[in-house]
Amino acid sequence: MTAKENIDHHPPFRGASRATRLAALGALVLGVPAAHATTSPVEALKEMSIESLMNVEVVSASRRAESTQSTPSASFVLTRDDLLRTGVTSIPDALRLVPGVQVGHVDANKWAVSMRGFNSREANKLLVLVDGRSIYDRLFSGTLWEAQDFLIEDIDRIEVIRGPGGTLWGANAFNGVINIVTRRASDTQGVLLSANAGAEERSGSARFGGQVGDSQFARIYVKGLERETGYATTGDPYDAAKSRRAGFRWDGDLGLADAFTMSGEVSRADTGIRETHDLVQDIRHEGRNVLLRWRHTGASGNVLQLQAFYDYVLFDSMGYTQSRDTWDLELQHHWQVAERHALVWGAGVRRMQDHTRTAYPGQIDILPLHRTDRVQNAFAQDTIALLPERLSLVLGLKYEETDYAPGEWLPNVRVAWTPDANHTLWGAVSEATRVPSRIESDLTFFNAIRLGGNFGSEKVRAYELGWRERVGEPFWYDLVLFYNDFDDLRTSEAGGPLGNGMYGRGRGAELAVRWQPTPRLRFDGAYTRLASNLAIAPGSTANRGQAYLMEGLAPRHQGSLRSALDVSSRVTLDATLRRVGDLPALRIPAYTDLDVAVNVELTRSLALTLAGRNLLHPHHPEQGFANSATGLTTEIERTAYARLVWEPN
Amino acid sequence: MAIRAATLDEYQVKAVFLFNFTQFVEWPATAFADPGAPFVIGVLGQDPFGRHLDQVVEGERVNGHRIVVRRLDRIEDAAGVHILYVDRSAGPQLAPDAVSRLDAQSTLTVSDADLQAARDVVIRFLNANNRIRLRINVNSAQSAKLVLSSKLLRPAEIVGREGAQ
Repeated sequence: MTAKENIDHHPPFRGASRATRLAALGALVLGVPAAHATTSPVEALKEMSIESLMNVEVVSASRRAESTQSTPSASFVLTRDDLLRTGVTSIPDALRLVPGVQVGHVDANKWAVSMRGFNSREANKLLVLVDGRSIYDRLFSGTLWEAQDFLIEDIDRIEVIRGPGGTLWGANAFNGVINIVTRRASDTQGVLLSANAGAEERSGSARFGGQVGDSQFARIYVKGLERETGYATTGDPYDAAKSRRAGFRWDGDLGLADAFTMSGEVSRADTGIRETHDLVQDIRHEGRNVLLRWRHTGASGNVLQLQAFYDYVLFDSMGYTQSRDTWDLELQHHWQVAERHALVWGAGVRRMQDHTRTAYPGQIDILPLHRTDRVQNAFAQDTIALLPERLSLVLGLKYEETDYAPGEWLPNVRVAWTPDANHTLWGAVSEATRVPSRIESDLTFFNAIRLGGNFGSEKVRAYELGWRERVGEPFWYDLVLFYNDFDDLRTSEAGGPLGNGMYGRGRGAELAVRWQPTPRLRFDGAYTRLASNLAIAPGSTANRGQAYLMEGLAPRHQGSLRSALDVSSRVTLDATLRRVGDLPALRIPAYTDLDVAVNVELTRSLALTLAGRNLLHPHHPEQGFANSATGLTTEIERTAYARLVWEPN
Repeated sequence: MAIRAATLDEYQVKAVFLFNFTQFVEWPATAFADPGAPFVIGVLGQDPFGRHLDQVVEGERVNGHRIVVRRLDRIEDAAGVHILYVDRSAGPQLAPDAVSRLDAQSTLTVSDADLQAARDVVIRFLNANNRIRLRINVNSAQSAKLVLSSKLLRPAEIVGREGAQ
């Protein structure tokens, strides 16, 4: 599903005699200025031994062709290059560069990130994975971005797939999937020190990577981060935050056919929140996880992958506390069954065990206090080449069973027509669900009134139509139209219990345009139009205002224009102008803002980034808490910062 | 710390592999009509290389023969071709023995497609963990009277005909 990704060479080329070709290879794959290379990249490749060539990491053409040309889904990939050039310091800020993604600061440390509507801090219709590990929080349903942080330098890419992804990714991939992929350990060898300082944020990270065996590489890293408060019109914003984390990744090849990845992280974040004008607190987040993935590539290119992870999270606030252990096991097999049938099938089980505690036991509880849940699923998806290289059909189906919802079928049907290498027309019909969260299901008053007793999964059927065209070398665009048919959306019924009393439709268009008039200058434009029409179903006692609120959580218009200029071989300049429409239900006005970043390669091992964000206003609001009982919004401020990255080699 | 990234295509590297084959494989003298005849690399089916292959072989020679690249629509046009790359897209139209018949003219057949018709190619590109591997069918090489250097054979996976393994 990737469009474009950086290619990084596999490092185990040793010996001074290869210095020249390494320099040239560096120029080729890392974009080191050509002045450092003494021969051209092609010459460098030609001088390499067969063994070394076999160690060059390439973008699988099939993956690339699929994504840029014929992938029958709305996908976009943000590369490491994009992340470094634009100087972003967080994933949500990076996601502002992706067409069709809605991003807003709720306060200085919390974000709302969604696609195709329903955006809020508790945006629960988007599934987020980090190297294959889901970080979707089952307590609220959604991603707590404030508890996540990354060494931006060690991210390989961020893959974004808009639209339901239930068949491959499971329940809760309702409106989209975000996959954050970190670099292989072999690509992060040696020392890296990075420091970031600015008015709103300071961070420091260190990474060390080394070879730990024959064809085995590892890295360890630490990062610390502090955020300043945002702007509050009245009172103390109380939204400062700090976090720290340490982790590792270990990749190895076992012979030609087998490879493994092991990774893990421990983290802690303390994030301030203003619940009301009188009540402020620091929420404590803790995380620990470890993941092991094994991948076997068969003789005919079939791939068998087995992945297991363990994940522990703690959410500790005055109101309630939850700790949760998750064990997850997934199997996936990519199998060329016949010449025209590429099958991917798999199965997974997940076990979650949690402990909850509230500040008012006996009055408000999440019951049972300890709960163990299981999720199991199986899926198969066949990509059929009806006309090789021209017309393909994708048929996929997943069955998923959880303790929160009865068994659910998550199907998708996709067709792609690629008349030639420069044009693709695709269409898709897919269905997805959003399963009730632990709180929705089990919040109980006075040990008797369970709010979510009758609340079930939310449902969507999505119709998508896309057209991608490359006009000559420099111009490319991607247009997606979608129509979402929603049913059983969450409502608060009269008297408080949750119900599935809302239905409706969401329509929209997402346009991405790329124009590269010269090799040194690139423009990326994006425009997203969204129109949601929701209504309360007959039989529901919910008031109409809830539908109005849900309709209004995402802007109806959103556009951006980014220019990326290589000023010289050592200096880049990126500027992004963003226009985001108003959110009437939250009384957030429309805004236009500008982010600028300059990167300077001071020496071969030292790079400086100077960045300014939100430059057009001293402060302004971007997104509100959907529920004012959850917290009070603060405004994002204009900021500037500098980042120094030292990576000797 | 490099901040710009170029994109390195699988087929750029495969083009370099094709060039390497010209250096590590010996063709019988009968494979050239005359000493001035060019060394011909043919691409059958949709060309996945773009400009890469032409760039890689530009100005290069094989034992004095300059290298030319030809794009072919039909395998029947492969007469006089020394290395034939068979693209996936060529598959459906190929007779099951069309590729192995080229052994008679000492063509080094190469493919990455898992096609019935391409099962007997001399060298197959495999992708494993985003790296390119080679699988060499020594029986096909022998039948085509090609001599492969140990530098090529050593890192490759070796199979016999009828796809041992």
